[in-house]
Amino acid sequence: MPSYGPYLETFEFYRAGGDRYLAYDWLLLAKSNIATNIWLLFAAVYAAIIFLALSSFMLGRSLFMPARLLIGLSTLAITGTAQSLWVVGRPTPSLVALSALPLYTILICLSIVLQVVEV
Amino acid sequence: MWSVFAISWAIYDLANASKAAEFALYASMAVAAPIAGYLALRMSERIKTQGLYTAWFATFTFGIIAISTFARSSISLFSLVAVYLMTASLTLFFRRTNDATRRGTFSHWIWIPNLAAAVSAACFLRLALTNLNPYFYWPDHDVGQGATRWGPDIGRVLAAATVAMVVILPIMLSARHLKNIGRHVEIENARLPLWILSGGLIGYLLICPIPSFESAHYDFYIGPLHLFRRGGWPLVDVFSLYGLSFLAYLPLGFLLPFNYAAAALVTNLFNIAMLLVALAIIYTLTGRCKFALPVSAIFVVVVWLSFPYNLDATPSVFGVRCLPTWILTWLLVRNTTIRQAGARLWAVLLLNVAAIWSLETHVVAVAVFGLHAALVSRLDGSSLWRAMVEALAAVPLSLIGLGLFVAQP
Repeated sequence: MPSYGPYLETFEFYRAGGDRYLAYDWLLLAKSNIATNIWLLFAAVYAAIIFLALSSFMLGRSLFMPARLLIGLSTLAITGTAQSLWVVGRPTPSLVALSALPLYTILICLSIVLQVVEV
Repeated sequence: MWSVFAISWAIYDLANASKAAEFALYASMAVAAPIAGYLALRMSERIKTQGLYTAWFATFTFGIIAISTFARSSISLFSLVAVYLMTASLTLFFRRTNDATRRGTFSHWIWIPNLAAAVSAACFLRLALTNLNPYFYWPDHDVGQGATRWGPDIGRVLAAATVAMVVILPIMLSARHLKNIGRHVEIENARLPLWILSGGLIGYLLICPIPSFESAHYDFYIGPLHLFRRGGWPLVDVFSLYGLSFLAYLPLGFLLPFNYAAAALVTNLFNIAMLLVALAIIYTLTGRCKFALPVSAIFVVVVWLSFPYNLDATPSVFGVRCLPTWILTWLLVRNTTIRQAGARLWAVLLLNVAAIWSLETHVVAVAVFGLHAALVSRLDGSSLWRAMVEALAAVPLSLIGLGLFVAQP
């Protein structure tokens, strides 16, 4: 039977505190790149879109934007949020860049859509 | 939502960086988010029309947000959250339900909440962008020198800007010319090929830099791959810290030499694929909007250059780690209006690829697939229960590939 044992050992390692001489902490990480400097923007964008999706889900109709755009942005926000889970255990700048890619994509989509005008 | 932000900010300010602080953060979010969501839903039910109450509460909310951005202690933030939630609860449960007589005066005071919103947005942005300045140098001192040796530099920035101009300027001029002479059909027909051409050129540009590698990080992939090539079966005889994603390096020894540099090239291709998928997602959502192509092309290059160091150096951080889930996201973004059987089949296939890829891509893919299915179903008019069942179906669907994998001798 397949075994994920060695894979899960890494989770256990970081859950137990990781290597304190090698691992980054949030305070160091917060100064390292743009994604961590604007971590508040992560929370704002992902939470706002997921909250909007949840409200639309409960009401059964899309709020504030076409359903297609809402579903697309929500999918991106969920991807970004879910990918961020690994960053919680292993906060390195490169993994933050990974979880920031959906954020960048959402922001660029919104900046384009808000122009409204078609070519 | 603001309450959740304030609490998370306060916990990080109050506690040292630790696992306990992170746990406290997520635990508090799990408590505050449902309470705030419940209050918001109750308010949206009560407020059927815009009135003085709406203006007052909006002004109060925006004012609290603006004040909170200047808070310098966790105690003051917690106090603001408490004041806000208590005020919201009190006004929700004791408010008069009929203020029709006051609605006529609402238009005279609409500028107050609008002003408060502008002020709070400005305060929020000021806080969000605090400490942004350090970004404007390449932060190559935060990791080892080996990882940054082939990282971004001013030459690459200039090259990227030049290529972006060379690609985008003729496209824009051609589009304007065709539009002026009324040939809109040609513009429509050229849109998708131009996006593909731009993506291809950007990809080529990003491949040009020499890949770098840190052998210690690559050993987690090269070692299992070596055993696999000698007849070991993954997850039975061959183990990797990163699941089965080491199979991404299968071209080594066949199409490419079996060495670290070739492995770094594979990593590079996966990383670039991530950006091109992002480009495809933007095209899917906004491809018909004005300036979508130039903005997106610049975006892809800027994102690549904003990485903290050359991501080829450590393979398990970007494309090799998450490309299957990112492609699944693109497919789901496309498959929102037309729910064709073929598109759903591709989505299930990618879901299973992600499930086999590694444990974490499995988790992410199930979450994304399930929540997408629930939202699409619900907005199509399905009931809540049916939508939830469609979401939960992601779990068994994701196990098909693993089942087939286990069934192998």
